[in-house]
Parts: sequence; structure tokens; C-alpha cells
Amino acid sequence: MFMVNNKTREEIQEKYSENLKRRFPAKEEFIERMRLLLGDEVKDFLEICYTETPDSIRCNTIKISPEKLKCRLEKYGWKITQPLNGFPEVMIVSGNSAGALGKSKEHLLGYFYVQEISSMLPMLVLQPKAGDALLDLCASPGSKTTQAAALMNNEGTIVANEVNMGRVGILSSNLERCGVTNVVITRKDGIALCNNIIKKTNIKFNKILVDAPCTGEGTLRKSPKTFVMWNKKMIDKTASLQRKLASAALKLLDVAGEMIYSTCTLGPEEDEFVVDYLIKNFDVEIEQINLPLKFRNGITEWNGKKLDKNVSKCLRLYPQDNNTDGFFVCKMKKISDKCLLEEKK
Amino acid sequence: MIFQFMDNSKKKKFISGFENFGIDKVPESLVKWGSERVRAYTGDLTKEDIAALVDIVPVEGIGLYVGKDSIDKKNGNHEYRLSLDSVHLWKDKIKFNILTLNEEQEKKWFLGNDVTIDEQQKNNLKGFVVIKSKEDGDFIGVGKVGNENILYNFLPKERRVKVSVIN
Repeated sequence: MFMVNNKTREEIQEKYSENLKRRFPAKEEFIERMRLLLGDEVKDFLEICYTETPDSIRCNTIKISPEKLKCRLEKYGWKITQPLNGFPEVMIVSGNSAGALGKSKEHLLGYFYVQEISSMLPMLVLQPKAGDALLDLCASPGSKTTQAAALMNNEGTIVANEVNMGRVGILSSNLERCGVTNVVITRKDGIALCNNIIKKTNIKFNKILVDAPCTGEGTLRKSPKTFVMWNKKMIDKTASLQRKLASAALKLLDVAGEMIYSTCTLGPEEDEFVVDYLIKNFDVEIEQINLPLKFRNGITEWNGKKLDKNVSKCLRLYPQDNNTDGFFVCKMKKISDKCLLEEKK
Repeated sequence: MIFQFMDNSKKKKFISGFENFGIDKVPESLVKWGSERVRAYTGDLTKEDIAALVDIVPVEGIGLYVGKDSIDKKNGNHEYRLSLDSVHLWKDKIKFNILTLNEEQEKKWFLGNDVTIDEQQKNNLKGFVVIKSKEDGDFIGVGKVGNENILYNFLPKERRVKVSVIN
């Protein structure tokens, strides 16, 4: 049995959770909103939010095969499981001490990327391939960009954009470590970048990822401070930015191209409402998502407002579904350049 | 940042700096990045596309940093140095000037320390060498062998192990 100072793993975990609950209590308004989404299941949601996520990694197939990496990591005495059927690069590591993953030789040499499973979903859904032209609009720290480069076998093009200078450094460092060669890194506000590319260049993208900045309700397990910082105003403000980012990206996307809109938050205003806005203003088709893990459909009604029924094709992931973080993913295909936003102007 | 795609002759000249490792040609486009750094790029965006991009947005990086072409201040000669990630990118081409470290030396290497090597390891090597792990055959960086039996460590800081990990 795993014990530290005569305490079992369960006892340590319980103490950890109690401590977090005391320091970062959930606000009543937040609990009520989650109750509206989950009903009685809100208890399970809140309970798991005060626990740690398992350590998950993604094998960097640019440098090593999943089989070889698994063998190497098992030599440390770590237990490696591959929880997603058909995606051997996705691994959960247990039996490792705190911090050991990030400091292992395999990590330093770029053989794997420490990445929460939920954060791997957008690229697993988009499935970029060699020859694609991909724009990753909000790219830092680079987890999804490096995942895309591996799926594309370093062929085709990735433009990885990040507005914040400090975060560009982190992005750049992760791309180097993972050996990504098919990337161009840009630093610009995402909306301005899309608008300028349309107006002033002939560059086209057949795949775009908008992993939008969000209020982070899905990552409470990693940053419980969000419980304290959470407020409804922030959601509304962020949702406005998300609509603008997604709209700008959709204008830039090629006809017949595919776009992923994703967030690590669970508030419908930042998720389904943004998708509903895109459906109403652009000629897009929402595509059904199929992945080998438990997830829910997008909601089509919230606070008395009914949304387009196609919004239900989105993926809504709660932490208690697969012991991960929470996440939202929508895959859409652009049918034509028609845009009602322009007509309204 | 000022950068320029290398034409064939410049690319050939740069790569000739690594002939002593067995690297004679590489398939990637090479981009001179600033005054010394060179990056390898495999993307489909053309020079013209990237030039158009530069006109509208700061471009912070293209492809992968693979090495340096600098001038040795002592003698004015070009000094070519591979980066850690280039030895992974071109690992199948690297055949010579390889220095293999044992387990203890490798620990010191990953801590960022210079490493004492024996005569057998030195084996007449001088200047920049590619470092290989005896334990698992990985290429773990690029170092420089001086006149003494010292391997100077060129492992970037962010790729070193923190001291607390190794007892």
C-alpha cells in the first residue's frame, strides 16, 4: 500500500481536498449555474474539482514511437496506461513522484509533452494532416501546436499565433523541444491577424483552431483560485471577445475548410452561445464529434433562450466523466463565404 | 527580427561546416535568423507568403533552430555549431565526432556541468562534438572538447535537470 508518514494515499488526498475547499470555496452563483447544467450531479462535479488530475502525457511521435516511449518510462517503475482506443500516443502515468515527469530525460529531449487529456481533444477532432495549412490562433503554450505538427509529420504549414510576448517565448521553447519544423510563429492580436491576412495577403488556411481565452471553469482542479476569481461579468466580457475571435477566424477559413472552436470552460455563454452566434451569422455546418471517451452533447437551451439544434453536436466534457479537466469542443465546416455580419453593416 | 532564406550556395556553405559529423546535405530550407542563428523550415508557406506576413505582423520564429554560423573572434574564421534539436532532426546523418558519455557523466551533463573525460573517450576529438548517451544511445546535445580532457557543456539552460532531482 502507498503510504507517506503513516498516511495512505486516500488520507493524503482527503486532506488535500479539505484544505482546498477551505481556501477556495465555490461561490453560490457558480454552484447554481452548475446545478442548472448538471442537476444533482453537481455534487460529483464539485467533489472532483477539489482533487488533482492524473498525470497525462502525449508521446511526441516526431521523435519517438509510443511503444518505445512506454518501454522507457516503465523502466523508471512508472505505470503507463493508454486510455484512448486508437490513440496510443495518449498516456496516463502513475507511480511517479511529484515533478518527476517534467524533469525526466525523455521530457527534456522532447519525447513527450505533459498535457491534460481534455486539452488533446481539439486536435484529435480536427486531425490535421501532412499538406494542410493550419492556423492556431491562440497557440501558447504550444500543446496543441506540437500535437498538430506531430499529426502532420512536420509537413504542410502551421501558423502559430500568440498575442502576448512572454507567452511567445514559452510557445517557442516548446516548439523547439518537440522538434517542430513546419511552423511560423506570429505575435498579434488574433482578430487583427485574421483581418490583415485577408486584406493584405493571399495566404489561405483549410484548418483553423480557435482555442479561445476563457474563464477556465474546466480547469478548477489545476487552478482552484478560479473558484474565488469567478464572476458572471467576466464570463460576459470573455464571451464577447470569443465571438469576435471566432468570427474573424471563420472569415479567413477557406470554403470547405474546417474550424475547431474550443474552450476549457463550461459556461454556455462562452461555449454553445458562441457557436449559435456563428451558425446564425455564417454559412457553416456543425459536425458530429466521435471520440472514444465519455462526453455530453452541447446544450440547446439556457436561461430560457433556445439555441440552434445543431449546437447539440458539440462536445461538452465534465471532469467527472473521465477524471480529466472540463472542456468544450465544436467542429464546423465552412460551406460558403456568406457572412451576415457584413450584410448587417 | 531580420531573417533571410538561404540560397543553395549559402545553404551548402553552412552545411559544409558539419561535414566532420557526416552531414553533407539536408532536405529542409534554411533560414538565417539574425546575424548568427540558422533555422530549418519544412512548411509550405513560400518566401513570398512569409514576406507578406512580415509586412503585417511580427514574425517571432520560423521552423527549428538548428545551429549557429558565427565568427571566431580569435582568428576570424567561421565557427559552425549544431543545436541540441538539430542533432535529433539530423540524427540519421550524424556518423562521426560523437562522444559517448557513461551514466555518471551523463548526470553531470544534464545538470549543465562541464564533464571530465578520459583519453579513450577523447580519442583525438577536438572542437564541437555530438554527445551520445551510453545508456540508451540518445543524442543528448552538443559540447566542445578543449585541449584538456574537459567537455564543455553547451546544453541550453531550459533543457537541464534541476539540481534537486539528482541526489
